This record gives sequence, structure tokens and C-alpha cells, in this order.
Amino acid sequence: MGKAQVLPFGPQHPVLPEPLHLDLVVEDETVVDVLPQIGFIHRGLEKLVETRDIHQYIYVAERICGICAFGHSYGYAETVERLMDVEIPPRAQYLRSIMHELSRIHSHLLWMGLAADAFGFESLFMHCWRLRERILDIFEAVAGGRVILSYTLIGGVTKDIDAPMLQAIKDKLNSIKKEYQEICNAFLKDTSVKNRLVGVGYISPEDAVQYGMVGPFARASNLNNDVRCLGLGAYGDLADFQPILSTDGDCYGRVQVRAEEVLQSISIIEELIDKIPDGDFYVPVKGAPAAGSEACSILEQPRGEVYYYCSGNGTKNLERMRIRTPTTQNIAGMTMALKGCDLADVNMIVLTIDPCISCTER
Amino acid sequence: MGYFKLGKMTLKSLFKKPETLRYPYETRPSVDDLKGHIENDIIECTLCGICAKRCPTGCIEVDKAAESWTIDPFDCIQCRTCVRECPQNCLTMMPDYRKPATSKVVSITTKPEPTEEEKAEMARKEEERAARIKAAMEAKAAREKAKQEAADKAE
Amino acid sequence: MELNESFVPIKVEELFDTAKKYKEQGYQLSQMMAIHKEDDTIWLYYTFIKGNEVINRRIEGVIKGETEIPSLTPLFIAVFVNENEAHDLFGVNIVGNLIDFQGAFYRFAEGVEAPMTIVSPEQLAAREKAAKIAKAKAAKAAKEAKAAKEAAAKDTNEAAKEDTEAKSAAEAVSTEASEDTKTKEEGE
Repeated sequence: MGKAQVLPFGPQHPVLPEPLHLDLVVEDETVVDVLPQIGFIHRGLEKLVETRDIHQYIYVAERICGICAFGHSYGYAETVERLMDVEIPPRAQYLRSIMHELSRIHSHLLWMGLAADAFGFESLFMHCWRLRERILDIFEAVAGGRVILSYTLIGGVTKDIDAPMLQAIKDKLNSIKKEYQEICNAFLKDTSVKNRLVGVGYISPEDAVQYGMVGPFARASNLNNDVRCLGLGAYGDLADFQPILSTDGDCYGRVQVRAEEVLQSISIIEELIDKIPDGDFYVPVKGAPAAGSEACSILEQPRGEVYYYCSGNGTKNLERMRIRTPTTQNIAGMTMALKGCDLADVNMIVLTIDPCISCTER
Repeated sequence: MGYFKLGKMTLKSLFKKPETLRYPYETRPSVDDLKGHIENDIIECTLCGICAKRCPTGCIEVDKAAESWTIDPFDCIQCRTCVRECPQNCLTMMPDYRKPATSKVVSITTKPEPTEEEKAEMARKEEERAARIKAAMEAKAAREKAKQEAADKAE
Repeated sequence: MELNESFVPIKVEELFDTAKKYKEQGYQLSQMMAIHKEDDTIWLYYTFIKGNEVINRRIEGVIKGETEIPSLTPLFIAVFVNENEAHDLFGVNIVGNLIDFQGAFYRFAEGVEAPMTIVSPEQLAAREKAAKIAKAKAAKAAKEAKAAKEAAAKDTNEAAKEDTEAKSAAEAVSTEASEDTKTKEEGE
């Protein structure tokens, strides 16, 4: 046994898309203890709710994170609607869910590319991001933006997606599906990938509960906490929704869960497009939330369960707005997964929780 | 199990057209609804200032006295709020991006100076309005007088 | 299925035991947050989630830097991020945090402490405006009530005079109403 020494990891590191700092205590090549540190990009967006009115804040909520941009505007709008007792038309709910699932595909493909890059499979990385561009093209055609969509409004969405466009989305997804299956095959069956992932960063189902893990990170440890199972909004109309679980609990399991969730999202979108009702896509919301009113809601984002809270004070600004993002909840689990792993596996384990530090530090 | 699971796709891409563009020489065709930049049809604009009030970043300034409408394109986030809220529908989202710039500038649109004909037209309208008001006042006075007289008679 | 949310107050002393009970029942501590209220106290919210049950328990009237709040990290380790955040951004005194950064979780500019509890001038102005509007509304309601009372009183006395009186009262109300909408517009 060698002497224990502290090795700084991040905030600038080739494998990290965002600044996260870890103090790794290593003995020889083994990590024995980890202290995570965030706080490099805190922007005070929750404070900004005091100077932007409820309609303007939607654009701030969207900018919390680039990858879950749509999800945050969706969750925020939903919470304000609950706060003001606004019933949004079913078509708007469907449109939101379709866009949300599309952004899940886009987020997972981005993550899979990053993971492939982390274990050194460059061409897989490029193919993943090539497919992701197709999703961004759909976003561009629908909302006019590629990453920041500004598609949600309080009371609905900014514009309708007409039938030919919905059909076009379906066709495009079908063509993506074919290519994606090949990529999925490479991810899940290729021996070189398996050698790198199987058995790395194992977390047992009991520990997953203990550490309060959420999202695909928890589902890889056979802990089902998919909020979509509750059937809120348009998800309630799905004929059958089975969350994707894995019993592996290691990095391979996490890759598998995300890889299969992309296919699941494609089938959800197809089902929603088939079932979409006609009608309005927007109801105007006037007035301000009452003083002392409060509401919360939860939403399943690509990275896991997100909790939103809003409270009004009688003015057009909210009193408090709170977002608890999945990465906040997963940092503890990540720290535990890192204990006892090889130094060379640290980057892989950090990446498999899909850390989104911008979300964590609003 | 096995190796080269991505082999087929990799081989295929050898013979395909590249996915990327040689950017400055080629550009992507832009979609109709692309959020590029805002333009104001100043002739239609009534300078009501709703766009400036609703803008989440406060990048629009409306000066009624100088009859000018100013937007800071570097602050604008292309959220389309102003286009949606405009009562005159004089704002449009153009589907092309602005050219990159080396320094920050604001774009000012001012109401054009009215031509002689327009000035004459405005003066004529103003006169007509004054005449209408005068006629109405006179009619009202006459009515009241008649009323008064009728009341007097009744007494 | 609908989301079943509830907001229930709780005392500081009961917090740890209640959390323990929730844990035994299979709830997960989803988050912990602080709200800076207008009277400069802080409210803490603890959210326990199980399925579609979202239970928000709140501790009211926490005083910045004084009231001792027991840490829930021994039960739910994942909450350490939130507790450090509440300590750094709101100045909540949390005792017994297992992963305690001692105020170094977020770093601020020199001289800044608990930035989320600073009331910005815009917010202050908005609050004053809201208070003013509320006051005006209350005054108007009182006036209307008075006018109605007077009208009712006169009803018994002079039937002939009432007509003109009511008319003038209605006019006064309508002008007031228009003024009120004007102030509202200005407020917007």
C-alpha cells in the first residue's frame, strides 16, 4: 500500500463538459475517498425571479441549462399554471410532451456521444452526434431555434404543430430509428465497450435508495422512480408505459438504460402523434398569482426527477421559485460509486451519472 | 458479443456525402420560422411601447418624442415575445441571422420625415377635425338653448 | 393520475423524528429549500416524495444565523448539497451536516454574505407598490360600502330625491373605477 495522497480532478478536465471539482484521495491507483465541490458557475437565476414577471421568467428558466432547456421551461410553466389554477388545453399538453420526449432523445444522444468519447470510441461519438443533429433539425423546423426553443408559454405553447409537420417528425424519427439501432448495437454488444464498462462503479439497489438517487442512474440499479409512471399530463393517455430498468448497477447498466430509453421515447412520440386531440394550443393567462399561494410539481427530465416550487405574493413577480435538479440529488450517489474504484475509471463513473452542473447551480 | 459492431456504419460513411458543410462558403438553407432577428415596419408602428414593456431582456427602447424605435441586437434573445404582443403587427421575425460584428451597436429605426403632400394631408385633417368639433359645439349650444326656452315656456 | 401535494407546518424540534418516520414509510427526501420572507425571517421547506404523494413540511420563522436546524444528512445523505446551499446563500445555521463545507460551498465577492436574503431596490419598490394598490383597493371598498349604506338610509326618507343621488353615486363609482384601472395599467 502506498501513501495516501490528494489528487485534484477538474474543474477543467477533458472529460467534463461542465466544471465539477473532485478531491480524490488515492492510494496507489485506488480511490479511497472523494470530496465533491461545485459552485464555479452559480448565476443566481432563482433570485432573478424577483425582477422578471411570470411570463418573462420562462426565458430565464430555459437558460438554466442548455440541454434540458425545454424541460425547464415546461416544468416552470406547469408549476405556475398549478399556482394560478389554469387548465391548459389537452393539445398543448400533447405538444409539450412530444417536445419533451424529443429533447430526451437529444439529451441521451449527446450523453452517449460524450460517454463514447470518454472510453475512447471516437467514431461512435461522431455517429451519436450526427444523429443528434437530426433532432435539432426538428426543433429548428418546429420552434425556430436549435437549442433554446422558447416554445413554451404560460397557458400553452407558442405555436401549433400541424398534421403534415407531425407526419414529417414521425418519418424523420423512423429514419433515425434505423440508424440508431446500429449505434445501439455497437454500444451494447461490442466487446471493447463492454470491457471498459462492465463492473465499473457498482451501486446496489439498497444503496440507490439510501443515497436518494434519481433518473437513469437509479434505474440502472433497479430502482424505479420514473415520474412518467404517474401518468401526469399527456403521459396518462399512453396505452402502456413500462420504465426501463437494469439490474446491473454498473456503468454498463447506465449506458443500457439510456440507450433503450431513446427507443422508448421514439415509440412514445409516435403514440402521442397518433393520439393527439384537436383544439386550442394556448389559453391566455391574465393577472398575477395570489399572495400566499404556493404550488409544486415534479417532472421526469432526461437526467431524472426535477422538483419545482413557486409561491406568489400578489404581484406579477413570484416570491420564490425553486428548482431541485437531478444532479443535485445524484452527487452523493456519485461520490459513493467513486469510492474504491480505479483512478482510470473515475472519468467514466463521473460521466455515467450525466452530471449537469449548470442545472445544479442555477 | 464481438468486435467491429460499428464497422458497417463506418464503411457506409466512407462512400456517403460528408455530413458537414464547408461553412463560410456554404450555408444551410434556413427554415421559414427560424428566429433570426427582429425588424420593425416603422410606418405601421404607433410607438405604443408594449414591446419594450414585455421584452424579458429590456433590449427595446421606444422614444415617442424623437419618434424612434431602438433595439440592441446583442441583448435580444429572439424569444418572439414582442412579435406576439404587438397590437399593430408591425414587428416581424426575419429568418436570417445577423452578420457577426466587431463592436456592439444598437439599431435605431426612426419615423421618416413626412413629405410635403403628407404634411398638407395632415394639416387638412387637422382643420377638418377642428371644424367638426366647432360644429358639434355649436349644435350642442343650440340644443341647450332650445331646451331652456321650452322649459321657460312651460313655466 | 393527479399529483397529490400538501403543505404542512412543522416545529424544529419535531423535524428529525418526523423525517425518520417518513424514511421508514419509504418516502424519499426530495429536496430542502429556504425562502426569505418579507419580515426577514426564513422559512425552510422539506419535501418528501413517494409515488404521487408530495408532502412539503415547512419550518416557519427561522432567524438567520441563530435558530439551530438539525441536519438531515444522517438520514438522507443526498440533501447535503441543499443544506450547504441554505447555509451559504441564506445564512441558515445547520448543525451536524455530515459533508459540511463551512461556508465554502459557494464563494462570493468580498463583503457579501447570504446573498439570497438581500432585498433588491426593485423588489422593495414592487412591494411598496403592491401595498399601495392593496390600500387603495381597501379604501375603495370601504367607500363603496359607505355609499351603499347612505343610499339605504335615504331610501326610507325621500323617495323622490333618491333617484338623482344614486345617479351621482354611480357616476362617482364609475370615475373611481376608471381611475383604478388607470393605476393598474401604470402598475403593469
